[in-house]
Amino acid sequence: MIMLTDKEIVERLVKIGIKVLDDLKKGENPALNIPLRSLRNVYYDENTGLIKLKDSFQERYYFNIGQSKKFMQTILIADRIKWLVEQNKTLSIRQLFYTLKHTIPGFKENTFDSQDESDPIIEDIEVLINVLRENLNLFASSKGVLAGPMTIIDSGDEIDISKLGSAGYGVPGIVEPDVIKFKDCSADYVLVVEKDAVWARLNEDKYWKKNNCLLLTGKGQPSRAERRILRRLHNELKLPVYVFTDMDPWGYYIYSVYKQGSINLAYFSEKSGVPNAKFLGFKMSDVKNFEMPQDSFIKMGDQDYKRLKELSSYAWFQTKEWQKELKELKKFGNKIEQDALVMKGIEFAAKEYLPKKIENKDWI
Amino acid sequence: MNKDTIAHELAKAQKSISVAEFFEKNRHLLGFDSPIKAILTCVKEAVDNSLDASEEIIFELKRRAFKLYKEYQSLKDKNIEKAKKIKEKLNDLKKEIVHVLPDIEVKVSEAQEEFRIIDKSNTRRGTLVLRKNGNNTIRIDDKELKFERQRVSSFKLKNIEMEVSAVKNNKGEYVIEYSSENIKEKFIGKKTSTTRYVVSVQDNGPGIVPEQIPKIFCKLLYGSKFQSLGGGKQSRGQQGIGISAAVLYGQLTTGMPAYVVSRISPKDPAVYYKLLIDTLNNNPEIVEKGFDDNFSLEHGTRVEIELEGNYLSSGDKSIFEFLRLTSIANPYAKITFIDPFGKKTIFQRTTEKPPKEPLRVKAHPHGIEIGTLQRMAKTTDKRSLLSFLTQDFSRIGASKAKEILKKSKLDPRMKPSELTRNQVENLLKKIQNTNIMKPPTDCLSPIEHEAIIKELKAEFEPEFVTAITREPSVYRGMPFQIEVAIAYGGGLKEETRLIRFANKVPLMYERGACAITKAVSDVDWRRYGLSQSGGKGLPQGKIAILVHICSVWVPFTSESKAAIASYPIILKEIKLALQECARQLNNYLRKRHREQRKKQRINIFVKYSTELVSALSRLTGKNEEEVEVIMKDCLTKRYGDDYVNR
Repeated sequence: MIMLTDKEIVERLVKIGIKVLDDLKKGENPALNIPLRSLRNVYYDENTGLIKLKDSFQERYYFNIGQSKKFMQTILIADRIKWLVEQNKTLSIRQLFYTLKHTIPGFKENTFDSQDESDPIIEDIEVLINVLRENLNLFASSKGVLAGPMTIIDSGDEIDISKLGSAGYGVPGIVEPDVIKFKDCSADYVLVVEKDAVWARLNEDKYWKKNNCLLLTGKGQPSRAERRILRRLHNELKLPVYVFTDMDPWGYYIYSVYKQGSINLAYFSEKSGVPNAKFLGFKMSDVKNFEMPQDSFIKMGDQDYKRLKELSSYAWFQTKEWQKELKELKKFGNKIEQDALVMKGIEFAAKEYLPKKIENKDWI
Repeated sequence: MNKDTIAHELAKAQKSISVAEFFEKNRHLLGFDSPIKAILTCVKEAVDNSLDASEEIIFELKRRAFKLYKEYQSLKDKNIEKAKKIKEKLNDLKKEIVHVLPDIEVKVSEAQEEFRIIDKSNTRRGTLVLRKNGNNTIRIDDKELKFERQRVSSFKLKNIEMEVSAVKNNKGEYVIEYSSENIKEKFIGKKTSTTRYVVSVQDNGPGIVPEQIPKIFCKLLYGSKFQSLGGGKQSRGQQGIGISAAVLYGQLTTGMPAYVVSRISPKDPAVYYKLLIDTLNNNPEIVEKGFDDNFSLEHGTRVEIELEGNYLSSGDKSIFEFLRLTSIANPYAKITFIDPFGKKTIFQRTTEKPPKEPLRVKAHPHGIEIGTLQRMAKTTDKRSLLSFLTQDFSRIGASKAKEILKKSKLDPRMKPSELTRNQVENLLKKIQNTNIMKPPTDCLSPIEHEAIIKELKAEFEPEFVTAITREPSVYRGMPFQIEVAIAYGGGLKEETRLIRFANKVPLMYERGACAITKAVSDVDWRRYGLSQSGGKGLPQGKIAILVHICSVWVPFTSESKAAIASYPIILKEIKLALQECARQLNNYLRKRHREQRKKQRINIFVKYSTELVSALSRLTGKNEEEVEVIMKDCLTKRYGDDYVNR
C-alpha cells in the first residue's frame, strides 16, 4: 500500500463509480473486482517475514441476487468515504455505520442492519483502491495501552507516558505520523503482553522503569492501532520487540499477528508487521524451567486442538522451533495462562521470569 | 296327506313380495335413506331421465342429418339442383339440432311447513301444517282446525271446540295462545327439520306417448334403458328403477301423487297424469288424467313429486352442487335452477356441439359370466350355436365361432337352448381361452377434454386447467373410457375438490368406497409439486380433480350408484390419466415458480436501485435524475417486459 494524497484517494473512489455507470449504460452487469481476503488468497513471504495478499479477486455483481445488496452497500460506503476525505473529517467505523444505516424508501429493509455488515466492506474498499483505512479518515476505537520512558506528541499535545499512573497511555485509533510523533525515548526494548491484567500487574511493579522498556498490551487480539504503533516503535526507534502471551494456540497466534500480520488484513502487514519480534513465552520449556505447579494447568478442549492443528499448517509456523513447540503442546494437552505466574509469587513475572528470559535470550 | 305340518304352517307366511314392496322396505338401496339424500336423489333421477330423453332427439336428428349428408354427397356432382335443396334441408336440420339441445329447468319449492307445537314443559301437544296452496291445519290435543289462507304470519281461528291465535316472532316460531273448555294455554310452534318439498323437473325432450307415461313413472324396472343381457349402451340410468323409486318415495312420505305432464309435438295436446304406485302389484294407479293448457313447450316433459326432505342450500351434497357438476359433465345442456327461496341460477351451456351418440353393443364374449351365458343360450332366437355365437356376440366371426365350437366339441348346428350346464361351462372356458378382438369402443360417449376444460374455466376460473381423454379400454369384456381434469389456483377454494362422474352423472356419496378416490389417493402427488400428507390421500391446495368414467356398464359397488368398483384395469387407467394431468400441472407450476423467482430477482434489483442511484450520483458528481434514467434503461435492457410489467 502506498501513501496517497486526499485528491488521489478521491479520484480512485470516483473511478469506481464511473466504471459502474459505464457498465449500466451499456446494459452490462456492473462488477467490482475486489481482492480476496481469505486464507486462500494469502501467502507467507519468507524474504520479508510477512503475510501478504495474493492476486485472486472476487467479482461482486449488482445483478446477482446474492450480491446485489452488498454491491449497493459498497457503493454507499465508497461515497461516504469520499465525502469524509473531502471534508477532512474523521469518523469511527461505528459512526460511519450510523451515518449510512436507514430504511430503504418504500421497503421494510435497512441499508445496513449491523456494523458487522459495514466493517468488512470498509476493508473491501481498502483493498479495492489500495489505500489503508488510516488514510481514509476512518478509525476503530482502540483498546491498547502503552507505558514507559517516552514522550509522545499526540495531535500537537506533548505527553510524557511515564507519568500516566496506573492507566497508562491509551493508544488512539489512528497512530499515523501526522497524528502521533515520538519525541524522547530512552527505552531499550518493547515488551508486548497479551492481557490487560498482566500489563496492569507489571505496570504496578514498575517493571518498565526497572528494566527500562516500553510496556504495551493490545488486550487480547490486537486492533490495527496497537500493531501499527508497535511497528513504528520498532522501525523508527529501532527497539527490539518481545511478546509475552498465554501458552495456548490463541496466544501463539496473537504473537504471530504482531509479527507477521493476519490473514484477513494481509494487505496491512507491511504497515504493521514486526518480523523480528521474539516470542518470550509462555512456552513449553518454561513449564519445567520455572517449575510451574500442576494446579496451573488447564486441560485443552476440542476447540483448542482444532486451532492448534490449523496453526501447525500455517506457512509462518513452519520453523523447526515452532513445529516442536506445537507438537509438545499437543502432547502436553494443557494450557497455561500468563496470569498463572502469580502462583509462584505476586512479583514473580516482573522480578524473576521476564528478566531471566530476556537475559538468557530464552525466546523463539 | 297331513296338512298340519310345521312346513304347512310356515307356508302360510311365505309369499312373494312385489318389487315395489321390497324397495319400500329397502330405501337405502336406491339412495333414499336420509331426508337430505332423498331430495337430492329425486332431483338426480329426474334430471338423468331428462338428459337421456333430450339427447334422444339430438341423436335422431343427427342420424337424419347423416342420411341427408350421404344423399348430398352422392348427388352433388350429378344433380346440382336437387343437391342444393338437400343442402338447405341439412342446414335447417343443423339449426334444429342446436334448438333441441337439452334445456332443463329444476325447481324445488316448499310444499308445506310443519311446526311442532310444544307447551311450557316442552311436551309436544300438536302440529301446525302450513301448505303453499293454503290447505292449512292446526291440531292440538286431538282437536283439529282446517283453514285456507296464504302467507300466514298471524292468524286467529275458532270453532266449537277451541280458539287459537298465533303470531310469528322474529325467530320464525309461532307464539300460540290456545283456549278450550275454559283452559287457557300458551304454546310455541317450532319448525321441524323435515319439510315437504315439491321437486319439479322439466325438459325439452321428445315427450312421452301418453299411454306410456303411467308405466314409465310408476312401474319399477320398466323402461327402454333396462339393459339387454351382456351387452348394452352407455346411458345415465341403467335399471329403469330411478324415477319410479322417486315417485314411490314421495308417495310413501307424503301420500301425494306424482304429477307428470308431457307433449310429444306442437300439434298434440299436453297430457297430464296424477299417479300413484300400487305397491303390492308394482302397477301404476291413475288418480287423475287430463290436458294441461299451461304447459308451454312444443315438446317435453315435466314431473313434479312432492316428498319429505331436508333441503341443503350449499355444500358437497346439495342440489345446487349436483346441478353445477351436471352442467360440467353435460356442457351442451342448459340447466336452470330455482331454489326454495326463489333464487334462480342458470348454468349456461359452454358449447353447442351436440354429444356423440353412444351405440348399442352386443356382449363381448370375454368377461361374460356363466349365468349370463346360460340365460342368453336359453332365450336366444338363433337356431344354431354357430349363429348364436356370431350374431349375439361382438367380435366373433364365423371362423372364430367354428374354432371355439371345435375346441368345445360342440356341433355348430346344435340348438343353443339344448346346451347342458356342463356344456355351457365348457363353452365359456373355451371362449376365454380363445383370442378375441377387443370390443368396439365407438359405443362410448365421453365429455371430451376440450369441453371439460371450457366448463372448468367457466365454473371455477382457475389459474390453470388441463384435461385428458384416454383411449377406451376394456374391463371384463366391457368397454370403458376414462377422462381426467385438474384445475389449479385462481378462483378455487383452498380445500381440495374431487369431482367424480360416471356416464356424465356426478357421484355425490360414498366417496371413500370409490375406485376414483382410491386411484387419486394412490398417486404420489408430491412428485408433481403438490403437498400430500404422508404421500397418501388427496393432494392439498387450491385444486380440483375431475374424473369421469363412461362405460356401457359402469361397475357400481351398489344399486345406489354412488361409487365405482375397484377393478385393477380401471384403477390403472385412472391413475395413468391422473399422472398425465399431474405432469402438465407440474410443468405449469415449475414454469410459474421460475417466473416468480425472476420477478423476485427483478424486485430485488429495483429495491436497491434507488439507494444505488443516489450514492452513484453523489460519488460521480452526476445529476441524480440522469443516473436514474441510466439505471432504468439498463433494467429495461436486461429484463425487458418482466421489468416494465412487474
